[in-house]
Amino acid sequence: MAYGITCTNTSGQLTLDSEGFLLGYLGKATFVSLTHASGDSIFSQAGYATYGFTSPGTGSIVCALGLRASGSSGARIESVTRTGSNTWSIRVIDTGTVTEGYNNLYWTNLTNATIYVWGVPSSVSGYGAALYNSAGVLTADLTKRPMIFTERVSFADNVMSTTMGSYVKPAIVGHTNSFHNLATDTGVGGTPWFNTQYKGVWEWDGSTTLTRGDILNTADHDDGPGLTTLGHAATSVLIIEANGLP
Amino acid sequence: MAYGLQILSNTGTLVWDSTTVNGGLVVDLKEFAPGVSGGVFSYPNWAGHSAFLITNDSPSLVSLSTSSGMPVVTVANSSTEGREYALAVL
Repeated sequence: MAYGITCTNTSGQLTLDSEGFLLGYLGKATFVSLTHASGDSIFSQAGYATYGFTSPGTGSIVCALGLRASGSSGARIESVTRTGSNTWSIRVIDTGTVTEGYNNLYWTNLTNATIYVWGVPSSVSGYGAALYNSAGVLTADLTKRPMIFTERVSFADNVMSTTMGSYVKPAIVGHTNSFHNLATDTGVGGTPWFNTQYKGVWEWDGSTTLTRGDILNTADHDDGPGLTTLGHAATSVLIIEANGLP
Repeated sequence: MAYGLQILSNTGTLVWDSTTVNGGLVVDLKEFAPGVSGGVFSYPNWAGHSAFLITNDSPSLVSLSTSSGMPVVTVANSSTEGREYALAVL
């Protein structure tokens, strides 16, 4: 390079480059609302929680879900959607503790998911250091805590648990990639097929075991054919030590 | 440290050390509205580096192979929800 700055770790991997973005920690999302499970005897869908975040800038954000040390209780970030120039809506699926509705679907009664948010830099702080790329775009505000990927954890096809490192407050970026479907022929006339679709949630045992659990997301009766049965596809995710993040 | 770059918090705690942190520099972020396809990431500055996508969508981290020419990744969002994808290089 003829200008700017590049840093690598001892393995030669990029860790900083003024032409790329260094994501800075922005804060936590806040709870907005709960949506109950809905539907009827033909089709029903699990509920979810919505969180909101207002960013100091208009750039994109990356969210990490704090893992609860609760064994079989799990959660997952379902979507991150921009709702305004600097406002975001984050949908969380959570097993919670309550089932309801026509097929005993879960809805979360939990409002305490922890969602950490990082974003591209939007302004300089007036102190410290900042980096700009060759186009003059601000790419790093070195006064903000950078997003650090402590490790990448992988799951093979249909493997539900794996081992990760030891953390005080782990947070996860990524999807369980676990959309498995089941179709049962009930033999009942009219709508003989009972289809269930499951979505994965992250479960942490408080130690070093990370599990992608399943929760029933939708259930429907149909006259067929039944849904194609799907397994749990391989996935990889990032783990971040969130201890100390305000 | 004898080389590299460190970042300290305002209380003096080391939060980042360029020589020891895991690789994975985000070089681009893009937002995808529901159903939008054809979003393209290109990262010619980092040709030769391995790369992956960061997303809350499925699959989470996609390992990408760089070509010898212009590294380009095309992403589609088939979901009914908005998505953000970040491209990281190692």
